[in-house]
Amino acid sequence: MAAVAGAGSQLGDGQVAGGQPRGGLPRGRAGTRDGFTPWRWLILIVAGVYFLIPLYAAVRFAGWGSFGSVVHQSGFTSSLGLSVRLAAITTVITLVLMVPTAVYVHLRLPRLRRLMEGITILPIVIPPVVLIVGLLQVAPGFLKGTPYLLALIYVVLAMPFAYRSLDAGLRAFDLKTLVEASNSLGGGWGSTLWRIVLPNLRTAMLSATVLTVALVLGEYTMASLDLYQTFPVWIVVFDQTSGPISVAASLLALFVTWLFLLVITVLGTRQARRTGGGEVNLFAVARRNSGRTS
Amino acid sequence: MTTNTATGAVPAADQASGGASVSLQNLSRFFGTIRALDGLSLEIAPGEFVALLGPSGCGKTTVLRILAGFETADSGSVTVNGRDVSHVPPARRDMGMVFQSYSLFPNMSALDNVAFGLRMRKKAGPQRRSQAAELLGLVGLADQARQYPHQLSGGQQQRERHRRHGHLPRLTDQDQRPAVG
Repeated sequence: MAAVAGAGSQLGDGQVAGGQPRGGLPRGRAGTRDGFTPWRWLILIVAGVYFLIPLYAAVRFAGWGSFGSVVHQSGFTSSLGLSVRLAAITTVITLVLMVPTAVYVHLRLPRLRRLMEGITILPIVIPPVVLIVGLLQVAPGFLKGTPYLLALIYVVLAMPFAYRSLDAGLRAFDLKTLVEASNSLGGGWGSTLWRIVLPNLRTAMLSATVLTVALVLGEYTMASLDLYQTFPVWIVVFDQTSGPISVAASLLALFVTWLFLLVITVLGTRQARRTGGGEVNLFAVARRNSGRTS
Repeated sequence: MTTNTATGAVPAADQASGGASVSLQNLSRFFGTIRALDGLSLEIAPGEFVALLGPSGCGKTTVLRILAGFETADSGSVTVNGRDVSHVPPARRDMGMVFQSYSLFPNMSALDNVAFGLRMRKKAGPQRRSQAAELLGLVGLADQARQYPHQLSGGQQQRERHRRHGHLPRLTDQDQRPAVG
């Protein structure tokens, strides 16, 4: 069967899939896809212009000098530090909660998959203001005034993204068969999870991490209503004294986040290439190209 | 499951060391209204080689899955070497299940795949590796020890899946698949 390294990527809904069609598993209109190349370029250019013009305008407005002075502003280090700490806490809690849940649902309650998708999408549907005001009412006292409360809120906010990438990752390999193979070889639940499930879910966990971190580093509403000066909140506050410098700070945050995403993607893809796994995409992990049946 | 069960003698020394007597008594299994197994009884002597043949959906895989412990029968019992294992979890049955679909662990090299079962049975590292290398050698995959499953051909993957179970009694679930190794 297909032994070609580097599977074609399988992207989420509405995205243009790149790469080659998967070996071995014929895909719908895979053959005609190359015919659309000019369209793909056009879409890329339009999307690029749409994103780059505001960035260019922001850079022009801030001026190069502002970038140097951002780091010396009071509150820069502490707010950035808080945001990074929140991102780390949120990611850990998210993975610890979501990975076993998603694995369990896939293995034991496959019929609940649809329901889980529905439930996990709720934080996107409910306005953030409603969530935070409600949560502040019911939050237990020992959490109030600690960043952990905010981290827990972020766990809820990150759930749609984290669950979807884990779900996609779990669909990308034959979880049930691998778990049964491990059991039949004498692997108990602990070692099966640690040695079989997690390594194969690595790329999906990286995607979940990327999305969670990006969300936490950019979140404003919750943090400001919970009276925390995270990096985005600091930027808004600072904006009232110096426009250009706060714009420079936003751009800096953007570039740092991009850099971070790039590093994670490169690391994840390198690992995946070694073992023939999928590439890291934000919402989906390309299926491994070990053919399944006949 | 109907009566088209073929029983034959052991063809090779391959099975000899992994002998276990297996006794299935009156197994029944229903999936909703579908009757997969209805009162199947089967005695298998140590070292015996048994093939279950039949049309798709007649319950062959269900028998193997019950024997390996992935399914529980609605009624009846499974006895291995005189011990009732009906409620023993798969990890402690010492039954090697070779799956119909590709089930090698994609994150491990060929050697590590074969060594996994030994590791789970608490074999020490060096001993484990030499034994796994030996098993791979038996099916002519010694040179592929460091390769990952996606780098092996279909036939190589299949031979390796058989080797993973070492000398355990093997349940091979094969569906219209050419037998290799």
